[in-house]
Amino acid sequence: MSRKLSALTMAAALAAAVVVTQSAQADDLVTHHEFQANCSVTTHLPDDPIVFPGLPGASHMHTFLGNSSTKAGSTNDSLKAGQTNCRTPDDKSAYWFPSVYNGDQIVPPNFPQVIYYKSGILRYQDVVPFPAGIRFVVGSPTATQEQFRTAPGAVEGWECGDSFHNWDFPAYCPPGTQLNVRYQAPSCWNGRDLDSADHKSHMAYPDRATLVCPPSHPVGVPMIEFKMAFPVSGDMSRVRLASGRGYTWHYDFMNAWDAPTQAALVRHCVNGGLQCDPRGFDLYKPNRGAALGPDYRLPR
Amino acid sequence: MPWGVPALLLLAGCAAPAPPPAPVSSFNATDTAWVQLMIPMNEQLLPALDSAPPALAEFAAALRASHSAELVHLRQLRDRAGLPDTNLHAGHQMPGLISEADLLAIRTDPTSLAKKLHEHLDQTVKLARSEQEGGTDAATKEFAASVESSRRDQLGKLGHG
Repeated sequence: MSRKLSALTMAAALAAAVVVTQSAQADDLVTHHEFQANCSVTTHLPDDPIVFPGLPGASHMHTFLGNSSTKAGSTNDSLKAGQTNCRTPDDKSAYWFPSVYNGDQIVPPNFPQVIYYKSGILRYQDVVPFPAGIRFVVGSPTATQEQFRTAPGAVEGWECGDSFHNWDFPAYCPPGTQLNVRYQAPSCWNGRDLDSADHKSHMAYPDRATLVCPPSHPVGVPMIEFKMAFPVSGDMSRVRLASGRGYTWHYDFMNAWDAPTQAALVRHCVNGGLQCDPRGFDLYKPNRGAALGPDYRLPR
Repeated sequence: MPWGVPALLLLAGCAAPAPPPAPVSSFNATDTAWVQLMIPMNEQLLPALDSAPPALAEFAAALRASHSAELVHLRQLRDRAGLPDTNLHAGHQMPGLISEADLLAIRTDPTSLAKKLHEHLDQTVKLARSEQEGGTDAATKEFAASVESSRRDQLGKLGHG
């Protein structure tokens, strides 16, 4: 009980701090609190720098996005020294998921994919940037279909055409459509560990009813939401994930953002209640300006 | 508005429990990943060996003995690293790891065991190499070297058998 009280006290203190700083924008109706990373496929490797660090070839096949240096031996420093195809060049983060196969062929996404950074908590003004070097796994390669359906990260399962809420791959997709999935990451951090033994328990989902972080994980960080699209349609009977059935969907994130760049995007777009593109610009509220310059970088 | 954020960071930082002093460990992430992978790698091979066809029976018996002895050593390393005894790779389909489906296939067709053994031995050679290159705990690296050498020896025997 006392931990709950202290969390409430903290929330009240945060609210007080925010009221002062947010009053200038009270005229704008807030409908979103997000920005996007747009990143393309770099490669496919049987590597997992989080679960099998330093052990190349130890994992099922993964499809990697963003930082082209990502491999089994990647560290925060090696990622920072790498290059990225993300639209925001100072996002050197590593993003990956189990490869989608159609029979024996890997199906890579064929355009830049959307990785949202949203608020997972009600008080979006309280979201703080990810700490340097944090990494975690979202979802589970060993999930059952029921676990995938009821997971706090689930959105609409697998989608194609007019078919939604599929908790495994649909049997058929209208030719020319793409297979889509959205899945949300936990956004409450324990404030202490950058990783944990299961690569998950240092993170938690907010309470579903109140959208407040639990006392054990009091720090609200951005909620990552992968929105991936795969160019495969028609007969879907041979479509699978490298980790198994459609409900074994999961993904991994290693934060290697330039800290001031991420902080500027979080402040302007998430705390500021905007629907931003990868430059931190809200098309519908152009008067609010952009977090980054025309080159998608902080003015230096 | 921008000035609110450092204050929030500070508050959030204070709310977090104070970090306990981190125990000094000689195990890095590669050491622990290798130990936690090798345990199910060895464990899940054992029931498959029961289905060895007559031509492989002697080899399978030797493998059972060496893999079981390695498991004792691996569990000691796991305990020394302070790791839980949960199998992080339960249900995983990975190169060299005998899954439930693999086991069923081997029981149905025991002649498929040789190919699976090859894959398992090959993969564990690679993993043992990587541990020696990327690990930091001296005893774990030394053990990985001995695993690599016995795997190479076993691959040689399997090739001729």
